[in-house]
Amino acid sequence: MKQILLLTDGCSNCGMNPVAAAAQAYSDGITVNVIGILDDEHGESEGAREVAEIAAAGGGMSRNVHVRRLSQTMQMMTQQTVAHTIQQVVNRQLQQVFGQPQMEQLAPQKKAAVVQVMDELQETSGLRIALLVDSSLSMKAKLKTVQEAIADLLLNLRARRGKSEICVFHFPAGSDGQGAGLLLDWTSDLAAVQRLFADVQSRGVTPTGNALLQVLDYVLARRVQPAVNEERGLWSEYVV
Amino acid sequence: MSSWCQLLLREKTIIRGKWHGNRYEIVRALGKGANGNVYLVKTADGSKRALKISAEWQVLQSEINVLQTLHFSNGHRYVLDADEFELAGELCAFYVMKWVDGCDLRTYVQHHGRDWLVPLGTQMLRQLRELHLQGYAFCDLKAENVLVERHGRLQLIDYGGVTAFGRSLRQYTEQTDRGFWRAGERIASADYDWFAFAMICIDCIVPKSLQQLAAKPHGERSLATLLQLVEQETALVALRPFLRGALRGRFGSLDSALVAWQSMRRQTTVMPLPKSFSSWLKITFACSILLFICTILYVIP
Ligand SMILES: Nc1ncnc2c1ncn2[C@@H]1O[C@H](COP(=O)(O)OP(=O)(O)O)[C@@H](O)[C@H]1O
Ligand SMILES: Nc1ncnc2c1ncn2[C@@H]1O[C@H](COP(=O)(O)OP(=O)(O)O)[C@@H](O)[C@H]1O
Ligand SMILES: [Mg+2]
Ligand SMILES: [Mg+2]
Repeated sequence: MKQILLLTDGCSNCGMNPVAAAAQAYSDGITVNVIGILDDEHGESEGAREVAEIAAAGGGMSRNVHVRRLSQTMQMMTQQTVAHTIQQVVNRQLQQVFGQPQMEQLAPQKKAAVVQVMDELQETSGLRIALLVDSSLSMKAKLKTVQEAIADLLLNLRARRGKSEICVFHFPAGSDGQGAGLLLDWTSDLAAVQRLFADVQSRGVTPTGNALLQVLDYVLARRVQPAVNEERGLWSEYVV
Repeated sequence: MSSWCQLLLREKTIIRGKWHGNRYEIVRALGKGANGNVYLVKTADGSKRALKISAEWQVLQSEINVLQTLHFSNGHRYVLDADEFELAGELCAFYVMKWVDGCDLRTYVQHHGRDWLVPLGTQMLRQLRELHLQGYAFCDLKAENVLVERHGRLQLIDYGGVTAFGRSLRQYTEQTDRGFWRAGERIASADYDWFAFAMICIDCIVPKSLQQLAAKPHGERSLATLLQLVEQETALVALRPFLRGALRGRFGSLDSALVAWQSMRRQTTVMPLPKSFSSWLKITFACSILLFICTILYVIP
């Protein structure tokens, strides 16, 4: 199972349309979940709308929350989206094997057995979550909390039987500031998350779409990462 | 997710199970948690039971599955009926269990005094041990999930968090979670429960200090700060040896936590005695002296 989780506090304002980028991820079999980190959780801002649209196109979930509820929201979303994916897989199997339309309609004993299988899959399936964190100027003050929330999420993931890893990208990054930069390669090591954003300089614009595509490529391992010293500026300053 | 099942069902509402056909009449709501609403219901023969409803049938089914694999020492079944019904075209799953006519642990200790903590803790540790011996941890241990009935009979409720040893937690609560305190992994084990148990004890005795500590930012929470609290608070003095062991995860065998807890009983004053109790003691003491004098005067020639 592979997912992208985007954390942002506002609107993209350059590069590719992020909704289209999320749709691309979905067509490649990667769901995109989005958490909007907003000061006003219930506001009808443009940012909140974009957050919802990206997740809808990416086949995932979205929530707009205050940064103090970020950790709790990340954990809830991960648990629910993993459960949802497994449910879809199991539902498909049931339909193929039994021609059963919906698992809700199964008799109690069969339901009990199906849930047992789902619980088992939920614990043992491999899981990779690529985090994409908006580090534009307006996010600067929140990055510490984001780092703590990521550490807390990893604590949940690493307890699973199935191999579970995260990687972390941030944006804007790169020499032109129009893409994403890798902060942390696939890992389940808590220590690696300690100083995650220490060297990140918050800056510039918000190229959410471009960043999403870059992370998608990474998750699909479609493109080999440019060598650290080959393309100076694009990666070197971000690889820890 | 809003759903019909989450609405509060009114008194006298009738629920009829789709598969087993049993009929339940709602008497009143007993409580609400993260996963379900629990009601006091009357069965067809008039006896009272607790009924837990959830819109998330998989979550409830998973809880039922665990409950049905567990053995309880009293030999009783925990799940008396498990079924579903439709409410406005939506599936609502429910199960029926024994009604525990009591209040939660924190409230009980607040009303009846700290002396109760030791006997109640013993019962809690025994019930945990029963689970541990079967290879499961309770995990979502918190004051709300511990009910105390008349005469100080304690019952753990909400087995929704129960997880086989070695697996990742399904449910937990920040304040008692050792992961929240950066004191260990979120993996089900006996240690995990004992840590949560220790947190409940601390919360019963020095709730304010604990809340202050819990409100600190992530980076400032740690096992060390918790241990420091234990050393500083004089109200915790009698519990100290136990708390140190439980928080550090230093108990070895499945019996050791219970043994450590029970060894406290032998200490003279566990906690400051409430007035009513000490005056009762004085009377008893006075009586026994009187009896002693009578013995001397009359029995000895
Ligand atoms: N270093 C910079 N140089 C030039 N313009 C900047 C710089 N930092 C921020 N800005 C301007 O400020 C705007 C807001 O910054 P940003 O952090 O992307 O905010 P938000 O993510 O809240 O929209 C940007 O669109 C950009 O035009
Ligand atoms: N058997 C019971 N007898 C009496 N009250 C109960 C019983 N089961 C649950 N309750 C009450 O309902 C509340 C919610 O039930 P619980 O099973 O803990 O739900 P959740 O899994 O959603 O936390 C409990 O905190 C308690 O107050
Ligand atoms: Mg509960
Ligand atoms: Mg529960």
